[in-house]
Amino acid sequence: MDWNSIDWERLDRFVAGRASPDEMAALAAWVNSDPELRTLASLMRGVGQPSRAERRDWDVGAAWQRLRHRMAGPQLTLLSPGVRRGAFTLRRALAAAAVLVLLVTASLWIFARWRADATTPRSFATRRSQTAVLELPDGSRVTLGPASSLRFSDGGVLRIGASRDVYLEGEAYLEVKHDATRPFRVHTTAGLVEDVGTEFLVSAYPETPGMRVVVATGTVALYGRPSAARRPLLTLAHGDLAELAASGVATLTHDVDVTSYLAWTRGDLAFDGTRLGDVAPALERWYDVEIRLSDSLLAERRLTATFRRESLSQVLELLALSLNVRVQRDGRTVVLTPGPQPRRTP
Amino acid sequence: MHLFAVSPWRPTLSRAPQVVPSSGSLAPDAAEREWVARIRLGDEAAFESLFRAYYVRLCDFVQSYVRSPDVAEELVQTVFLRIWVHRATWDPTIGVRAYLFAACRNRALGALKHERVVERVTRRATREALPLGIAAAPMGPDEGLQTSELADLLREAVNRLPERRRVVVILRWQQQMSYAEIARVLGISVKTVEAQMGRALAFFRRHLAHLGR
Repeated sequence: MDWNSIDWERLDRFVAGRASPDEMAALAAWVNSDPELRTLASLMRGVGQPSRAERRDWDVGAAWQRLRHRMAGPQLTLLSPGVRRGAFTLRRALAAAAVLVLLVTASLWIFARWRADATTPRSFATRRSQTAVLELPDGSRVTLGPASSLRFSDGGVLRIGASRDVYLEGEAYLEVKHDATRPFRVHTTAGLVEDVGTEFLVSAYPETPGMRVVVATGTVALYGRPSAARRPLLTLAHGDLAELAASGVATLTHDVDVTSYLAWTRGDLAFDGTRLGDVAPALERWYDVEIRLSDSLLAERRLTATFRRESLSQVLELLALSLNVRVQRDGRTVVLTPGPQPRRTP
Repeated sequence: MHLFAVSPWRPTLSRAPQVVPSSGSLAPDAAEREWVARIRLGDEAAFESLFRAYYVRLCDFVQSYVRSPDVAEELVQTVFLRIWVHRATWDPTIGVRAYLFAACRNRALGALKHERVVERVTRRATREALPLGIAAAPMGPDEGLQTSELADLLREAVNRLPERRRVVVILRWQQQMSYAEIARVLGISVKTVEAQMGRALAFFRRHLAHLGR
């Protein structure tokens, strides 16, 4: 066919389906009379679709499930489009240069209307590189860390006169409106923390067994499992850090640097002599990457640093320098290997 | 119950199908109003059918801006999530489909701006031919130009268009929107849409003319 003489206006009307039925029939006959024209019309209808290399078979069912999950926490509206995943390393390199990984903090408001169906369990979840603030109707405030979820049991937060029970997986900073008649309890798989009028941090990520509690103000009581044991393992006051191992053994440290543990609630990430083995999962959650340590001894190296909106590459650079590790990054995967040995002195 | 045609039209070139006239797929106004009304009342089933009817094509559409499929999905999810969160006041006066495409376009442009690489992306998109998309089965010798070659050329031509003109072409050919609906998506006059389409056609005519050999 003669490409110079294609009647683009007719082709356009046909592809756009904008013609009377009679004209459409005539157009269809015309287009189908020539294989190349037919192909061209097919391609025109698919215009703007990703090329095969870039295309994904969108899984609508899975996407709907993800959306529903987010709808369950209906006020969690913001997500970070700055977090990248996928196959475009060039773009990512450009983007990484231009964009710092920002944590998107969404404020969640729990309305009084929930009282109406307070028996329904409520659950909120953050994804990686996302934090959220929940205002509970009792006046308490929960800052949920990345990749964490908070569940309220059975309207416990709302009912007058009942204890306030929340179930946490991950990390949360709780500023509890104290009410002596209604204890506020945070349950994790490892144990239970009960406030005595307090602001405190609870960290219980599934990948690090046990839990950690840091008290900013006030006093909390830490119970092990089974929580039926009515005597607290420990009572913590300001500046105390309690670590409850999966074995049920609790250790207490006084006078920790509370601000560094709470840094993430202000959008910073701070480590204070933290094992690399514990730094890595935190970075994974913060920057949505996978970090592998090539050598288990690496996990014992310790890092003290505060990151304030640094990009992942900047963080890794600092890690490489201060811990003498080699950083290999391939997209969302980061491998840390021991750096060159210091020259041995005789 | 799906009020809109659900699956986007994808060319299956291996069999070089007969191209049939397409039917305009805009839902009747009354049905669409009812759909919106149900969503406003919090009817999750209605919302799910809206989601399922549009998710794939919106992802394709957004991906034509941001390239990364993950980012595209994230942006489209955000659009739907916002509708649900603000459902009580959701009032897509420009029509549901026009609203969805407009919202996704705004998100995509916002994301590009956010990355501050919008200029580079545009420049790159206009300068480079994008990688060949559709692998085609070999065609008979009498069919001349390879389908893959043609797909490549058309893709390149579309990517050379200015953003707004490209959207006009996509919405008209792929979504089969009327000029009026496209105008509502872009917030411009029908006359402007027509002019944009005219220029796009002129460009395609020039760009593909040298194919004659």
